[in-house]
Amino acid sequence: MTAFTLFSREQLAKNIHKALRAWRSIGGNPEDLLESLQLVQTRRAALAGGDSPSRKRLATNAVLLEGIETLEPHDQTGAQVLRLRFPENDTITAVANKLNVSEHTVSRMQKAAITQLSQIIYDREMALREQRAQEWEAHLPPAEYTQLFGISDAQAQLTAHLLAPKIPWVIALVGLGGIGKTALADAVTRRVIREFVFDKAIWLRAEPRTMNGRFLSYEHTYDAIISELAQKLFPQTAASLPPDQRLVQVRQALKVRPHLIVIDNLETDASHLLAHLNDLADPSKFLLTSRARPGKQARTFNFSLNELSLSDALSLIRHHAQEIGITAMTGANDDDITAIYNAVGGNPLALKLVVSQLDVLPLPQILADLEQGRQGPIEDLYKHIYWQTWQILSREARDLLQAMPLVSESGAQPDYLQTISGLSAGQLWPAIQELRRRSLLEVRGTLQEKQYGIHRLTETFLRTEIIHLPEINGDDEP
Amino acid sequence: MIAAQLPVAQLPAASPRFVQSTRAAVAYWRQRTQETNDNAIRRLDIERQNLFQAVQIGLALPQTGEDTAVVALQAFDLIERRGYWGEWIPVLKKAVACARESLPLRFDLLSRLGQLQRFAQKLPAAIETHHKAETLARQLGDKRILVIAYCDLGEDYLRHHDYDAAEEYGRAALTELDGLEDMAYWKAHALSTLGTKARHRGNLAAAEEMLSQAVAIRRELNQPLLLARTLNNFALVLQTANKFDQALQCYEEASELLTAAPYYELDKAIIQINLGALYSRREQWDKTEAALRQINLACLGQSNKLYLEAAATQSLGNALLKQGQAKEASVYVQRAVALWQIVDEKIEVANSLGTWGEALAAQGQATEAISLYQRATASLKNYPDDARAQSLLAEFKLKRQQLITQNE
Repeated sequence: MTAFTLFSREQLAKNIHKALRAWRSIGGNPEDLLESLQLVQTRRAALAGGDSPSRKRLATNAVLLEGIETLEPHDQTGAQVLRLRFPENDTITAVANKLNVSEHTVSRMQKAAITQLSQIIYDREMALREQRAQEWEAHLPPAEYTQLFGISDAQAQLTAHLLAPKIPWVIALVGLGGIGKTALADAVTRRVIREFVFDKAIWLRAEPRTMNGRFLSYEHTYDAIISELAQKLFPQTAASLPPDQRLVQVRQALKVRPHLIVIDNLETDASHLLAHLNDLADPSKFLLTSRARPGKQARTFNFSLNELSLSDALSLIRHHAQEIGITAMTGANDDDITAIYNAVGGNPLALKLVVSQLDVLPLPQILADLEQGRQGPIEDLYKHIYWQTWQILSREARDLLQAMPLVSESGAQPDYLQTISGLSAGQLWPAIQELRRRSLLEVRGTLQEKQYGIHRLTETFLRTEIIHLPEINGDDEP
Repeated sequence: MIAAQLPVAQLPAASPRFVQSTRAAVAYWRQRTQETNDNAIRRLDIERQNLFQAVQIGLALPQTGEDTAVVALQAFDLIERRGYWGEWIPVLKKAVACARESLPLRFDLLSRLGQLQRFAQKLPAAIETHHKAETLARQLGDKRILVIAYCDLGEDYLRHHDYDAAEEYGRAALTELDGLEDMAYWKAHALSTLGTKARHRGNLAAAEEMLSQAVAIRRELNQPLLLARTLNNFALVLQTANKFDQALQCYEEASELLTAAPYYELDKAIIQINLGALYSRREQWDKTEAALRQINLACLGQSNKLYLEAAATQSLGNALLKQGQAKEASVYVQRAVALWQIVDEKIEVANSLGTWGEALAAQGQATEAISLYQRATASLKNYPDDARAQSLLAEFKLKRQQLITQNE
């Protein structure tokens, strides 16, 4: 897991010395109040009136005192020196007299004790941060990847944008289907969470109150976002808040303390919605993923995620082959893999689909087929890739995949998949595993409950090429 | 898109394997939608997107169309209670087209389709659909379903403010019901329609008599949701007759019935709106505001229940105005005007225009207020048969005249 970076051990030692010296002050500055510490923030939150200057100092002193108490069993004299010098406010001369040592020795002991105290507080802070980060991560959807490739620059840029307490407040991560927007947003969120710049990170999948799972308009999307934010921010009272109050309270919470709000897979043209979100931002930030680039009126920072470079594609191909056990790839050289990249391009989903064929089909045959697909538009290439994958599927996997257009975007549980595929329980799980290994099935949900669905590119292939199912006009009546 | 635009014959045939999967999905949902208790509806609602997907696809395939039409019909309770009306209207239209073989199924689909059209305030469409159902019932020579068609039409015409037609069909339903067994549900329905019509006409004694009978039948049938709805209609009559305490009791009982079942947000909103109206009749504006603030307007907006959102917004604006918050009130009633216009409720548009005028007058904008009263009264003159419209007309005429006099 990525380490915390905005928080340095050296700076902490300096600030702890400043905080000890400020023991008897009321209030102070962020450094001598150790405001960057989660330990201090937690202590403040536990104190009634924790935002008053005297309470702030009290919280900081409590953290220091706990550190000194931990130090005591290991270095009783050092702890005594710190107590006398700072809580008791004795001079070095007075401490030297009490301990019957020279002033120089007291200075030396004090310096050593502060170093040890800094280490104790640092370790405690790290443990608390790790615990908090894990608590927050538990609220994110499970990551769909084991390793990411070719996103380090994008990840660094996005992280920097999110951590900077200035514009852009609303960032739209834009790219084609299968390009890895959700994976990047997830990785960046996990990285940003560990800097504790934000009070809370909230990952939203706003659920519309409709039968088909689509929003009726951007106003409805906005209402659903506000409702879900209220639910996450004020779980006890959100349900009883009238809508106008809900908006007021959400806005107030996001304006008073910085929150990171991630909205994944925003459908259609989100320009109007984004204009509303701008009103809720600063100091809070919004990160959105969308296929459509928002218009200028949206006032967002649009961050495009492009296809993988050759070297990143090489790494992804090797990693994915190893992950799904394609032994044929062990002997592949860079030229072989470059040929795949030249034929497919840098879309991660398309690359994974091709790699998954290599346990059955010889590379030259795959490349020759892809060459035909490259003559037309990109959709033809994807069609070719899907056809190749389709040919090597087992009968059970085909039966299950053919039934998947009956499953909505929200996914379905295994018992429903069994019903619609006609497979027995013994056939279903191998079919699920096979489709998963070939990147044809997506797994969503939590530890306790899994939902299975397919990517839109896969659905398009099935509808047009395999089952000949027309697009259905599902428009509701206005 | 293709399914709506090309004749079925031009579509490529779906693969046999997929047809088989669709059959399995339709059979699965057919079984699931047979249960209509609260718990079954709650579980269906969680999985509704897969139900919707299966029904959409099932209706698009000729091999599964008729079976899927049964699922579309059986899912009605979920659709009605959760307010997914707009999305289900096109589904039921396709289902009607698919139900070629079974005329009773076709009748049921037409009846339900018209009901959804009525809920969605598409009243001419609802009336047309229910007349088709009436014709079909006559063809089938079945008195029981003819009663249902009459009840549907009675309620459509009632909502359309065509009270003569509402009375005609309500009475026809009661006449046909004579001698039929196990039709208490529809008797209560017809009585409720006739009682509500009588209220609109200002015949409160008759309204009270018929609705109290309807309530008694609903009690015997032990159908909490329908009892709550009829109690609501009864309370409206009592409220109009200034029997506020009795009306309040009815609302409280209805609320209690709905609280026990946590899934009736739309019905709860209706009760709260009417309760707000009751408090406003008593000029208890703080209670009015409190009752209306309990309504989840966002839920109504997201469900596209503009009629209810309009009613709640208008009433809240009025309550704020009476409490001296004219500026905030203007915002609400202005929105109410826009919402009533969308749902094409002209009397309500006029009412909101009048309230807006009052709010502007309170802010010293007399010229604009006079103009709004003018628009309201011009519209209300078109409803000489509607007691409420005439009452509003008199009130707004007076207020307009007072403003003109003050400004001369």
